[in-house]
Amino acid sequence: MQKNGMTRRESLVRTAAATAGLGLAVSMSLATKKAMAKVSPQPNAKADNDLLNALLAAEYDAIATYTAGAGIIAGDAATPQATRDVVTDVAVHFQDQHKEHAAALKKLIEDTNGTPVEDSGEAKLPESFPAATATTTDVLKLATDKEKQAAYTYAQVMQSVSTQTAAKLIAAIGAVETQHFIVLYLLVEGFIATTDMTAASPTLVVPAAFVLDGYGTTNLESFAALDELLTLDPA
Amino acid sequence: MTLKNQDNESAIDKVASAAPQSARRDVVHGGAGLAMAALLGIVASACSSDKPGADNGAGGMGGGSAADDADVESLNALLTAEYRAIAAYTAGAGLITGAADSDPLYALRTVIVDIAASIQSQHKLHAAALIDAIEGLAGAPVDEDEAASGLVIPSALTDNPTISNVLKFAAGAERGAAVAYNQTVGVLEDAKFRFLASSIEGDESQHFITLAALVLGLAAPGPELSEETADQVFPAAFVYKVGAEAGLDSMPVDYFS
Repeated sequence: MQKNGMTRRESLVRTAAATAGLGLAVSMSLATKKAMAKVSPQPNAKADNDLLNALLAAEYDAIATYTAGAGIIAGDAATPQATRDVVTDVAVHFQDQHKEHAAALKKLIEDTNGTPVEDSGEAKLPESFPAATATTTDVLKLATDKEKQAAYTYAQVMQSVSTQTAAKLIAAIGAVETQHFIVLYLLVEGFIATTDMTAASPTLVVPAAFVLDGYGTTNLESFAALDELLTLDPA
Repeated sequence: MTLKNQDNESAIDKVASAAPQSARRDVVHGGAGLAMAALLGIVASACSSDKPGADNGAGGMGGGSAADDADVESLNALLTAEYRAIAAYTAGAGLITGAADSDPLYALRTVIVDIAASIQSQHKLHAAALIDAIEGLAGAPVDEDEAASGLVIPSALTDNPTISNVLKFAAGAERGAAVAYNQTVGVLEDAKFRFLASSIEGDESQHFITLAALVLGLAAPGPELSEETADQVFPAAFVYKVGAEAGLDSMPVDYFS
C-alpha cells in the first residue's frame, strides 16, 4: 500500500515542487471564495452509472484480452523466451491494474445503488487480429489499440458524467490507461526498448494503478518509492 | 540505435521555436543561467456539487456573472502551471545543451532536447485550450510572463545540473501536473471543463511515465528514436479531441480494425 495519508497527499503538489525548492503556484480554496460556477449538467448518479457500467465492461474486456494475449505469447516459440517473459510480466502487471480499476468502478456503482454489469470473461478481438497465427508483437499491438481506445473513451465520457465524484474516479483511471498506451506504443514503434531493469521491476513500468489516492493499492499522489527514485542526485 | 548527435541549431532556440500551429502565445525564452524550474502546485479543496440541484450557492444554472464563475479560478490555476511548464522546458533545454561531455547521457542530449521541444509544444496547446475556456466564461486569463516569472530554480538542480537530474525534475513535475489536473477535475462544476482537464491530464501523464521510464532505466531509447522521429513520441496533445486539435481518438491509427 502506498497510501500514506495527508503528509504524502499534500506533498505531491506541494513537495513535488517544494522538495525541489519550489513553492505553490496557486492555492485555491473553492470552499471559501465568493465566486460562483455553473453546475452543468445537474448531478445524476443514476445516469452516471450507465456510463460507469460501460467503462466497467471495457475493463473486463481488457482483463480478458490480457489473459488471451498471455496465452498467445506463451505459444510464440519464434520469439526469444527472455522477450516473452518480460512482455508477459508487464502485461500481467497492467492486467492487475485493470482489475483494480474494475473494482473501483464496481464499488462506486454499488455505492450509488446501481447494479454493476457482469463480467463476460470474454475478450472482444477485432476482426483483423490473426488470433491463430498471432505473434508477441501482434499481442503488443492489440494491447496498444485497446489501451488507446480505453484512454480516449475515459476522456470522452467526461463530457457527460454529471457528478464530481464519478468524474474524479474516471480521470484517476483514464490517465493510467494513457500510460499503458504510451508505453506499449513506444515499444511497438521501436522508440523505446526494454532493459534489464524492465525485467527486474515490471511493476515500476507503470507504477500506480490510479492517479489519486483513495481508490486502490497504488497511486501517483502518494508513492514514497517513486518519490525516492525521482529525487535529484546530489552534487 | 539510430540516435544522432547533431548540433545544427541551438537547442534552446529549437525548443523555443517549437510553437505548434495553433498555439496562441509566444514561447517564453529563458535567459542566461537557465535552469530547469518548475511546476505547479494546486490544492483544490473540494466543494462538492454532487447533490441534485446543487448550485454552489449562487443561483444554479448560470447564476451570477460569468466572470465570477468559480471554474475560472481553477482553469487559471492550470493555465499558470502550463506557462511555468513551458518556461521550464526552455530552461531545461539550456541545461541539457550545456551538459558536460562527461555526462552519462551526453550522447543523447540532442534527441532529448527534441523530445522536450515536442512536450513543450503540447503544453502550449494545453495553454491555448485553457485560454479558450476561460475567455468563454468571460474570464481573464492570467498573464503569461507574470505566471512564468513564478518559477523557482531548485538548488538541487542548479548545484548538479546533469541531464539525468533535468529528466528527473521534469518527470516529477509532469507527475505533479497529472495529480493536480485530477484534483481539479474533482472541483470543476461544468462537465465540459472536467472533460478538458482530463483530456490534458492524460497527456501530462504520458509525459511523466515516458520521462520516468527513461531516466530510471526502465526503458532505453529504441532503434527508431532519432531527431527525425522525436516529435512522434507523443502522438497527440489531448487524449480526446479538443476543438480543432486531434486526440488519441484519431491518431495514431489502430493496428487492427
